Amino acid sequence: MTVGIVPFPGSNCEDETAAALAQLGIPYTIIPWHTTDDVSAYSGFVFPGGFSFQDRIRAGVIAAKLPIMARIKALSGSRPILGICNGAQILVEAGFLSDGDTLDCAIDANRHNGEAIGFVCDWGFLSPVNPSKNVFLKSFSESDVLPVQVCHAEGRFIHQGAPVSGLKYTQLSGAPAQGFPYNPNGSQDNWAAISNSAGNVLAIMPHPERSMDSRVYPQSIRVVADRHGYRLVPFTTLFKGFVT
Amino acid sequence: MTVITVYTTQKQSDLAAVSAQKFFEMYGGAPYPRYIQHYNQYHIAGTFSADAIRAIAHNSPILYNRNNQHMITDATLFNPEHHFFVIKRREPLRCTNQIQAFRAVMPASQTIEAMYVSDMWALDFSEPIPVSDMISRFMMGAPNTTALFAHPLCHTVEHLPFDALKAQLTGVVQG
Repeated sequence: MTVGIVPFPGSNCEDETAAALAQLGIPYTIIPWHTTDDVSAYSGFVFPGGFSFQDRIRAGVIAAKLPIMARIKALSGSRPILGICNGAQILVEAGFLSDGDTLDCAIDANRHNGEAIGFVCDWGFLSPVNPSKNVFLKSFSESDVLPVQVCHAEGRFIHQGAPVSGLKYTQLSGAPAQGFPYNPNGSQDNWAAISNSAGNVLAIMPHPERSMDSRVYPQSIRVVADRHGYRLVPFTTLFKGFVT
Repeated sequence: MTVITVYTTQKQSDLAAVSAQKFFEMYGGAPYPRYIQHYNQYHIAGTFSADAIRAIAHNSPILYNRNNQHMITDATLFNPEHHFFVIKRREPLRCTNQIQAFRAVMPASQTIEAMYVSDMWALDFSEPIPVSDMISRFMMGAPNTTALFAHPLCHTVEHLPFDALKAQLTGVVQG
């Protein structure tokens, strides 16, 4: 079992992603985006964050249309596939979350009150929705609150139909996010991560690979959580989705 | 209500346009565009003198950085042989900062009510190709196509004939 990490020119989170897999003892290989080698031997794929092709035209759209994506998409029915931040944008633009011939999910520019708000770099909180329906989320429960690093300018999920599973932005208490800043980008229905209907693909905009150790949480979050007795859950087990 | 349209573009090669052209050349199949240019299209609506707003826009950094961008209000600066496509947001983004900047230097009797920015792409082909093919192959994204410039949930694509572009720049819409 080996997971393929697929960075593109401008990706910059492949090392953190590799470290997250290594922490769980999951073997991985960095796959060059331009490879013509057979990729069917990999047991899963992860697309790391960054700025593929400098986010030109629209974040992720150029990488999404490259030949390697069609080859991986042809395998996607049987393998776990994770896209983080720019990797999520690439999966969405390539149609990994869509069942038909049209795109029914998008990730648009962050906005608040009808205006673009640019790049958001902050901590946020997520809770799973129907976690049993996605291979990466099945070790979590709906009552979990997972602190996570948010770091993007285009993270606003728009979707048609109701996603079967995913993660939603919440408050530190686990209550639903009520607008900015808990929902940092104006995402429809507070979605921060969306699963495909088969449950083997997850596109997540915040960074779970940077949020696996509670020691990196800001002191302010830890103090408030302790004061109110909130139990915070690190993202470590998300990557166990590659092991099943 | 008065509505005017102005365009801005990079003085040097627009890197998004260069990437798109190269991408279509490598992966889009023939015929592909041999040249692509990118413009920002500003629609400005309000109660004002169109000439005065154009002058403010031209002489200020509100809409463009004159060090590396042109502001275009003259249709003769566009190539009439190109095919123009405007990518509009289904949910427009307000340009509140620019509106406030205009208001700060406008006469008190005039005002800007709304301003929206869209992308415009100009494509040049060496051989004829139907507009519908241009939209499906290069403009409106879908799984398993190479179209880059618009996403169906976020954008609309409008083909803008050169005469309509010219009319936008020479005319003032009064409503």
